[in-house]
Amino acid sequence: MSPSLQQAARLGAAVVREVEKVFLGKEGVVTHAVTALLARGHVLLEDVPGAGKTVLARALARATGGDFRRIQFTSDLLPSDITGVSTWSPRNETFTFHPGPIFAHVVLADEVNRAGPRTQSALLEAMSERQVSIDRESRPLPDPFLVIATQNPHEHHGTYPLPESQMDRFLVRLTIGYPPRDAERRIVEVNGYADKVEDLVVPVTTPEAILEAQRHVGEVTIPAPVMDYVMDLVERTRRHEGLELGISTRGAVSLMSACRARALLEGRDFVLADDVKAMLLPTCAHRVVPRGRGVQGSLVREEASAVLADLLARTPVPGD
Amino acid sequence: MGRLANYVWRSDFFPRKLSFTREGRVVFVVAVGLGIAAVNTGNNLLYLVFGLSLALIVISGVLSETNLRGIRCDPMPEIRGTAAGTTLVVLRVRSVARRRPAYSLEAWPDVPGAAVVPARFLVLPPSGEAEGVVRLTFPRRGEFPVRGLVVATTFPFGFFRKALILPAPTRVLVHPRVHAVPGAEVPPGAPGEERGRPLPGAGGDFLGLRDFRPGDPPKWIAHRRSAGLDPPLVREFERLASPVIWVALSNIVPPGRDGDERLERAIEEAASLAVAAIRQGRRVGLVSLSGVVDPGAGEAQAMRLLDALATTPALEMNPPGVEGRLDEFLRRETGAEAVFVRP
Amino acid sequence: MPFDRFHRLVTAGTLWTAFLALFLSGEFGWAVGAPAFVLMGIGPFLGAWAALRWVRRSAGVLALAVGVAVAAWGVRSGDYLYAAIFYAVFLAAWKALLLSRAPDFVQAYALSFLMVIAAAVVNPGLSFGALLLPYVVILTVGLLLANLRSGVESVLGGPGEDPRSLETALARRGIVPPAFLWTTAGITVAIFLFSLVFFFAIPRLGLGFFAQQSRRGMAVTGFSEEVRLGDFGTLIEDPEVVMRVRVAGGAPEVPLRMKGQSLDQYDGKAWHKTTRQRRPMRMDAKGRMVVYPRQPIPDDETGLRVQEVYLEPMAGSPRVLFGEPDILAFQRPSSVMEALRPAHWRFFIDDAGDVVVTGPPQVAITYTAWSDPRQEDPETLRRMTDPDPPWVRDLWLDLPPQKEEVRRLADDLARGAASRYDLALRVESFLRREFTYSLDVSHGEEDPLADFLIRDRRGHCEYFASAMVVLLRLAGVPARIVNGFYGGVANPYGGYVALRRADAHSWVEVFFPQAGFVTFDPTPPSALELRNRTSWWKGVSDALDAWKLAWYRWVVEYNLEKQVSALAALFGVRRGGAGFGAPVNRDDLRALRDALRSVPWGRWLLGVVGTLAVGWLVLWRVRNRRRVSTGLLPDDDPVARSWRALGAAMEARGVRREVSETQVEFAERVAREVPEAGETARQLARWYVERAFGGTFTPVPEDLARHVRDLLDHLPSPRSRRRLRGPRSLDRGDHGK
Repeated sequence: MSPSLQQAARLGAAVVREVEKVFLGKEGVVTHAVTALLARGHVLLEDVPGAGKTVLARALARATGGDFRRIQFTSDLLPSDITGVSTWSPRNETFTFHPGPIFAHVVLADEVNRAGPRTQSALLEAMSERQVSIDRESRPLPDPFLVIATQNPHEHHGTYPLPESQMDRFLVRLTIGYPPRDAERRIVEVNGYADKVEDLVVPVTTPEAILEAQRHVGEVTIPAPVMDYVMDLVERTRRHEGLELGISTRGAVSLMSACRARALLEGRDFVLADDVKAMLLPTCAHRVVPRGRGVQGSLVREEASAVLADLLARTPVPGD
Repeated sequence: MGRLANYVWRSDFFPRKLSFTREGRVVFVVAVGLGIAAVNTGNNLLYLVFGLSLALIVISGVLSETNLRGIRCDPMPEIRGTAAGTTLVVLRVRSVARRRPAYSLEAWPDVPGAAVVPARFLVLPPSGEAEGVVRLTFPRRGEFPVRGLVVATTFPFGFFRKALILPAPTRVLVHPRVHAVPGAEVPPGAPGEERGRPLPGAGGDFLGLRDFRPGDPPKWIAHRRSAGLDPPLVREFERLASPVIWVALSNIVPPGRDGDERLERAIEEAASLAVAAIRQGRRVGLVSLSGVVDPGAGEAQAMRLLDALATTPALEMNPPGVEGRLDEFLRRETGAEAVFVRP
Repeated sequence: MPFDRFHRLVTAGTLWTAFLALFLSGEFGWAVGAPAFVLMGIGPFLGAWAALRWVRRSAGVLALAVGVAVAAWGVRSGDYLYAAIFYAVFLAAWKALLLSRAPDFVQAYALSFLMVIAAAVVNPGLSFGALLLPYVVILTVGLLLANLRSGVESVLGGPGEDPRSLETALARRGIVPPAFLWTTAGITVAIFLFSLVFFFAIPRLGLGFFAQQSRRGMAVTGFSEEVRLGDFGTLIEDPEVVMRVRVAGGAPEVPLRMKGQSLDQYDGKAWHKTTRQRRPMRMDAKGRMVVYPRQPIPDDETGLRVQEVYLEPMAGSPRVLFGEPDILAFQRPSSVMEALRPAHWRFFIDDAGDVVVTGPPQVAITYTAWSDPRQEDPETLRRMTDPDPPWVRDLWLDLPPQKEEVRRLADDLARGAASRYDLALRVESFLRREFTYSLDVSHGEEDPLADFLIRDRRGHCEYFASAMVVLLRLAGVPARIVNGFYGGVANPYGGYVALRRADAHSWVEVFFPQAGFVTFDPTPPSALELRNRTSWWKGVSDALDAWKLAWYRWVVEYNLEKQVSALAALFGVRRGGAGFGAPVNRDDLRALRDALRSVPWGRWLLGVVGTLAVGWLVLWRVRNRRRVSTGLLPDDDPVARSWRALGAAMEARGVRREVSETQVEFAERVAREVPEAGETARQLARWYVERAFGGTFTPVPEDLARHVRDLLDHLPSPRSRRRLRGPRSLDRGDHGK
C-alpha cells in the first residue's frame, strides 16, 4: 500500500473516530457515512425524528473541517431557497448572486419528503451535477460536497416521498435505529449531544485533504475474483423472483465505488468480498424494486433488504 | 472475445518468449551442421554427438521452464520516471517453489520505447524473495504503458533466454526534464528556504494531518488523534504568506519544422518553473489548454504538476485566439501571480 | 573450494577430456599432444594474466596469424581435415590461456565440443565412447558454472562497479548452493539418456553426398596376394583383434579355424596367387552367395556350421572373406542397404574358390558364413584313386627346381605310401614330429625352405605349410597353401571367439578327386600354446573386448538394419537368427511391411492425438479451476496450505465455512466458536486475502505450516454433539440497521 493511500485510510479512520465521540453506539452508520463521503456520494437517512440524524451530519461537517448548512424542508420551500438568488444591485447596475444554503461542504437536508417535487429536484440536481444553474449561469458547489438527506418513512400525510427513480442519486441509504442500551444511557445522561457537537468535535482534516483522499479511492483495485463475485450477485438480483427490477449497471458502479471507499477505510488497497457484503444492502436496497404486493415506503426497503440478504447468503464468495 | 483473450493472456497458456543468446545461436548452428554432417557421412559417432547437442538443447528448454515455474513478482506501483536520466525501479520477486532454488533470473517491466537494464538475481532460494533494481531510461516525457512484467532466465546453460510475462497493470509517467531556474525569486519571509513543503507558520491555516517524521517538533503531535497510531500524526499548518503562482502553458505545437521540439522545451520550462516555485514554498497551480491543476504546495503538489505536464498533449490545431482562454482564466484568478510559458 | 578455482578446474577438465579423445586417435604425436595437454591443464589457472587488455588483443592477432599459417599449410598439403582439427586444438589450447569472463569459458566449451566432433570423425574406437560420458558430466558442470559466473558478473561486473568486488565475489566459496550438485547430477543423467534416445531414434537414411567414411589409420595390415616366407614373424605377437566369430547354436569353441585365401604358386621365396580371374557370385533362393552353385545347400542345415563374423577393417580391396572350411556360402546382412544403395557390396569368387567382397575399404564388415565341416572319412579318401583333372595339375603341381636333399626327402616320404591320403598324413606327422615351432628364425634369403627342411628344422607355420606343400607336390600330389586364422580366445562375456592378428596361420589343403580339397595342418600343436600366452589380465581384456564389440555393433556400426530390426521386434515380427546384425532378408522386410500395414495407423494416430488433446485440456481445466475458482493461491503457497488445514480442522469440529462466508467472516466465527484458534484464524485470513486478492505477499514465518499444525493438534477435542450440527446463524455483518 502506497504511503498516500495509507494517509487517506488514516484520514478516514480519524474522521470516523471523531464523529463517534458524539454519535454513540452506531459505528456502522458512521462508517457508511464516511464511506459515502470518500466515494463522493450522498447519504439518505431514513428514520424517525430524534434518532440523531442532525448530530451525525453536524459532527461529520465539523470533523472534516468543512462548512455546514442545514436546510429544513417544508412544503413551502422554494428551489431558490436552496440554491440562492441573484438580486439587482442598482448601484453597480449588475445582478449580485446571493448563494443559498447549499453552498457548503456538508449539507443536511432535513425531511426532504416534506417539500414539493420541484424543490426536491433542485436539490437532487445539485447533488448529481455538483453545481447549480441560476439565470443560465452555472455555479460550482464546494468540493468535497456531501448531502445528508433525511426522511421520515412513517409519516405519510402531506409528504411527497422521493420518487424511486431519484433514489439512486444517493449512494447509500441508512437507517439509524435506536442505540444500544449503554450508549443510549450515556446520551440521556449528558442530556443529548445535539448542542455539544461544536465543543467535542474538532476538525481532524481539511476539505482539501478529503479531496485528496477521494482521489485515492480510485486507486483501490478490484481483484478479478471479487469482480466476478460482484457480477454474480448483480446477475442474480436480475433473475431473482422476489425482485421486479434488479441492480442496474449504474447501481453496480455505485456499489463498487462504495466498496472501494470502504476498502480504503479498512486500510486496504484492494476490495474484498467482505466489502461487497457490507455495502450491498446500504447501496442497493433502495435501487431494486421488490415484486408486487403494493407495499410502500419503508416496507419496500425491508422487503428489498431481505431479498438481498438472502442472495448474499447463497452466493459463493471467491477463495477457499 | 475480449474475455477469452483476457483469459488466455492471464492463464499460463502463451506468456513465454524464447530468444537465443549469442552462445545459443552458435550451439544451434553447430547442431544443425552436425546433423547434416552425420546424415551425409553416416558416421554414427557424429550422430552420437549430434544427439548430445540436441539433448543439451532439449534439457536446456525443460530446465529453464522449471526454473521459471513458481516465480512470482509483486505488483508494481505506478512508476514515475523522468526524461532526464535513469529511473530506478525496485522489483521484488519471490519463489513459491518448495525445494528447488531458481538461478540466474532477470526481471524488468516491459515498457515499449524505454531502454532497460534488468534487475538480476543470481539465486533465489526456495520460498525466498529478493529485491532488485531496474534501470529505465526514457526517450521522452509522457505516459508509457507497461505491457507486463518480464521474468527471464538463461539457466541452465545460457543458450536461451526464456522469459515469462506476468501481467502488470500499471503505467509509467515520465516527467519532463527539470532544470534549475536561475532567476527564480526567493519569496518574502523565508530567505533561502529550500524545503519542499509549506513551513509551519505561527497561526497559519490548518493544512492537514500527516505522519510524524523525525525532526518534527513534538508540540505538533496531535495527541488525541494519534492514539494507537504508529507513527503518530502531526498537525501541519500552512505557512503564512504563501502566494499562489499560476504557471500557464500554451501547449500548442508552434508552426515550423522544430515545432514539437520547441513545445517540449516549453513544457520543460514550465516544469522547471513550477518545481522551482514549489521548492520555494509557494502554492503553484498549472493551467494549460488541456486542463487545470489547482494550486497547492508541497512535494505532492509538485508530483501532481509534473504528472499533469507528463501527459499534457501537444495540440496541433490553433484556432485564432485560443490562447486568449488562458489569459481569461488568469484574469479571473485575481491576486495570484502568473507566469506564461509559450513554445 | 573457491568458486573461481573450481570453475577453472572444471574447464581444464573439459578441455583435457575432449583433447584426450582426439589424441587417442593417434592423429597427433606427442609433439602436438604434450604442449596441448600442458596448456589446457595449466592455462585455465592463469586468470589474472588473461584479464589484461593487451594480452587479449595480441592473443587475437596471434590466433588469426596461426590460422592463416595453418590454412596455408592445409592448402599445400591437401590435408584439410587434419589442418582444421589442428587449428581447433590450437584455439582450444590458446583459449585456455585467456579465460577471464564468462563468455571466455563458454567459448572454451564450444572449442572443446569442436574437438569432440573432430574426435568423432577420427577416433571411432572405444576410447571415444569411454571418454564421452565423463565429458558430458564435466561439460554440464562447466556450462552451469559459466551460467552462474555470468550471473555474478552481470550483478557485480557492470561498468560502474569496482572490478575488485567481482574478484572477491568469485573467490568466495558459497556461490554454488548445495542443491546445485543434485541439480547437476540429474541434468547429466537426463542429457545422457536424451542423447542415447536421439542417437537410436534418428533414422539412418544415409544420403552420402560426401565420402562414406573418412577415417584414417584404421585398417589392419591385411591379406595380400603374396606371402613372403619370413614376413610372418612380425605379425605374430600382435594381440589386436581382427575378427570376432559367433557360431550359431553353440558355445564358443577354440581353436577355431577360419580360412581366408589359398595361394597356388611358389617361386622358391614367396607364395603368389595366380587365380586372379574373378566372377560375381551367384545368389540362391535365400539370398545367399553360394560357392558351389551346382550343389544347393540343403534346407535342413543339420551338420552345417553357421558363423556370424564381425570383421575389422583391413587394408586392401577387395577384401577376403573368412569362414570355416569347407565354405558353402556367404551372406551380407544388408538387404535393406542393398535396396538403398545397389552395388554397395559385391561378392566375387575366383577359380580357387576364394571369396572377396568389394565395398568401402575401411569399414568393419559383418557377414554370415555357411560351412560344411564334415570331411570324408579316411577310408573313402584312401580309396580315391581317380586321376586329377588337368586344371588341377596346372594350378597346384607347379614347383621351382628344388635342391637335391629336398627331393630326396620327398622321395623317402613318398616311398611305400599306400594312398594319397596316407602320404599326406605321413608328411603331416613327419613335420609335426621332427620339426620345432619357433618364431625366432633366420633362414637364408636364397632358399629359406631348404634351410628349414635340411638345416635347422625350426620355423613358424608358413615354413611348415610351405614344406608340406612342396614335399607333396614333389611327390605329384596337388596341394596348396592356405592362409587364415587359427586359434582364438573364447570370450565368455560376449559369447564369441575373438581372433587376433597373432592368430594368423597358414596350413595346407590337399586335393582329392571327387572330394576336393582336404585340410591338413603340419604345424605342431605346441605352437598354439606358444602363441596363446595368456596373460593374468585376460579377464579384463576379454571384458574390454566385449565392450569394444558392443561399442562397434551398437554405436559405430549402428545402421538402418538395426533400426529396422528394433522396429520389427517392436511389432513382434519373428525374425530368424540374432546376433551380429542378424541379416534382414526380404521375408523379414515383407513381414515387417505387412505388420506395419496391418496396424490401423489412422485409428492409432487419432487415438494418440485425441488422448493428448483431451489430457492437455483436462490438465488445463484442472489447473485453471484450481487457480481461479477454488484456490486463488497455488497449492504450495504456505498460507493457502495452512488455511486449508485450518478449514479441515474446524470442519471436524462442526465449524464449516459456508460458501457465502468470506475468509474474514469465517475467521471471526472460528474465534467465537473455537477461541483457542481465533487469533491464528484471523492472522491466516488476513494473510490469505492479502495474497489472494491484494497481490501483496507479507513474508510469513518459515515454519508457519508446522506452527499451524501444532496448534490444531493441540486444540481441545470437539465438544458436544450439539455443536456438530453446524454454524449458528450466518453473520451478515453490519448492514446499517
